[in-house]
Amino acid sequence: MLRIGIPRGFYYYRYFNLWPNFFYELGAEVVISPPTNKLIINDGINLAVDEMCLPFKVYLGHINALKKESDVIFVPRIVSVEKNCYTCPKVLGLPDIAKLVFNKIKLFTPTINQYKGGEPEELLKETAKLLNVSQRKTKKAWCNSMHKYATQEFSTEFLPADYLGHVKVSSPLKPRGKLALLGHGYNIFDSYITMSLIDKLRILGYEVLTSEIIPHNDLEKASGDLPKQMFWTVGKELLGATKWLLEQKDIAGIIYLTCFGCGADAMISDLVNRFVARQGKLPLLNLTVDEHTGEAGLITRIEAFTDMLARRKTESEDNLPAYGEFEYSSQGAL
Amino acid sequence: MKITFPHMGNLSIVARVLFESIGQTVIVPPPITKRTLQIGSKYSPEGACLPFKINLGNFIESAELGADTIVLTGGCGPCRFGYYGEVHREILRDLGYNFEMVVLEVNEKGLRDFNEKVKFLANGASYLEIAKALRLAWHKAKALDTLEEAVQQVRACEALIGTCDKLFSSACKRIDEAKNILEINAIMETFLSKIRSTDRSLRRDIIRIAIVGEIYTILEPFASLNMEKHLGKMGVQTIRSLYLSQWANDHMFKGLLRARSSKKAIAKAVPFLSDFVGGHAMETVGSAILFSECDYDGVIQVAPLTCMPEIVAQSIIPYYASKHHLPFMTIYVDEQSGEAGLITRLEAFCDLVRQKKKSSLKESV
Repeated sequence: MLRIGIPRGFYYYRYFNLWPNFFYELGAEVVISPPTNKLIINDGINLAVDEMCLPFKVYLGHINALKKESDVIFVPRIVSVEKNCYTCPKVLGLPDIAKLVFNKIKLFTPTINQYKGGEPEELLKETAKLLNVSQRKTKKAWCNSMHKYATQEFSTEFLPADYLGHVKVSSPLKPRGKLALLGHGYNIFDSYITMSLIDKLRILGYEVLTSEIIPHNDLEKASGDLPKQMFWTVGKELLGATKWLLEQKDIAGIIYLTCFGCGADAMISDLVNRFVARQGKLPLLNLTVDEHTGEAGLITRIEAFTDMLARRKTESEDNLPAYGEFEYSSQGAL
Repeated sequence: MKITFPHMGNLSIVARVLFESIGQTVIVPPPITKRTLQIGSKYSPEGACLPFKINLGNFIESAELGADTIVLTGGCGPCRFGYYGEVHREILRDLGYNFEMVVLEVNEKGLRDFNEKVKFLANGASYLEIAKALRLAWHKAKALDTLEEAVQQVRACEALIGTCDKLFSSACKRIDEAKNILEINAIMETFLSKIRSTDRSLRRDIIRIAIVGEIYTILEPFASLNMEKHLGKMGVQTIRSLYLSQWANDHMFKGLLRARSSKKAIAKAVPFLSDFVGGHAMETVGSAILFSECDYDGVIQVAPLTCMPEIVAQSIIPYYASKHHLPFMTIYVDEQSGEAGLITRLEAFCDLVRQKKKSSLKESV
């Protein structure tokens, strides 16, 4: 049986309930790399150029971790996963860079391009070739796995992270409300990158909500309400999630987590901040992490934010700090 | 309607004639200065790339001169340039400016939307008038590029430093004022012969370095901290992977005009970078390979900090460079970059390139 390794990074956090099932059904053994740890990150940092974003470095570390555990490593070239939307340039360039970095390892790099809609034909064709099965069998396996994937449901109790071997914590405190955590799935669900942010928020008594929990139709409607369609899938979801959250009555606040150097987030987070500031009612915390981030700094910021949220309930606090009022005001530039 | 647009090298000359020929009023933004960048950085997201910040500075300075309509090109990704217009619009709105933003692109709304934007800008001009305007603009772009290519060659060996750049500056002013193609060609011929007959120095260590990278940073001297001028002073002949007329040919005429196009470079990149990733990553990788095969002595990649496609190119080129012994250096620029730091790196690079050339000559003898 062929052992296919899947690196625990990037779009695995989106398709963890699709790809392994697809390969299993066609008779392959699937090996997932272990959760991100210090060794994986350090390897990734050494293998990538400095300017690369942290998730990319982490991903290279995961490929490295699978070297001896698998016969071939699945590093698809994900161009697009929905009509008229792209992923990010670094994700597009990933397989070509991986081929040069890991020139002695066998990599399986089919293109997934659904920009014009439809199924990822090349993925199906190349998988059939790799596993020596018929096209018909491959299509059937894909349909079955897609069905299972399409029916998966998430909640604040069961976020994607909770399905990935993450041990849930319980809080000694009374429930304090819902906090939305926005960001790319491969950041917010990787406990090493976020230093267990979801756990920390849960221990503080908050239910954590991510864009995966928002009903798909509501998300589509909200993200369609922009003058120009956002052409990154994750960007579209985050902007749609922001608009949806602003209409809810029971959200305590939003935390937007990004990695330093993320090109897409520079644009997306600016718009998220603007939409939230214009409404002026929901507190928003921006967290930027990279490989140098210290846990103490992160804890300080979260504690300050949640303290402020608690105070809003008991004392009369203005909705926008001086910084927010200046930053997004309509008072003219000069 | 008072139209403005961002600066990018000599784009303002080309854009101005295009819109004025169809009867529009154009407000050319003031030349880019530290003030432009200060204003732009202040109101831009911190992680946005340098071109975004400079553009925003241009728009705000144009507003001070009365501009009310911004014309930008756009795109649909994956590079973030396609969403510049939207974020600019929101920032300007929050700052209280009342701009009409016209983003020229073919997006999910299709060709009809594009045509409506063109009609809006055309202000009643006929298709013939628009075609004439495009032709005039194209000729100016070609003339400017031809002159610049000559400067890039002669600057390295001019006897009096600054001569070629002064001539190019005058040529740009004259071409900006030219009213028809005959005039443009006459000015081009005059200045071309002036540049080519500049007094030469006696230096014998001229090297040739190619500059590749993200289009804005390599076309706009303010963004690249005047890299080509500094290299010229160090006795380096330069060439770029992108020129203004080439960009126009690629993006407006699908590479069909008889001028530089990026098709060859993209073909060269394929063994290393198999398909597009957005931006000009394939052009960067492919041009580095092309220039190396044409015996250029070294390649410098310039890009704005956090530019996603260029980081992909930067991850790939060293694998080619080490195999083919090509001196290669990447320089990222942002609003905190200093010219002195750049000059130090360029000097070190040129020293290494010259040493390598000397030692390989010794070996061949």
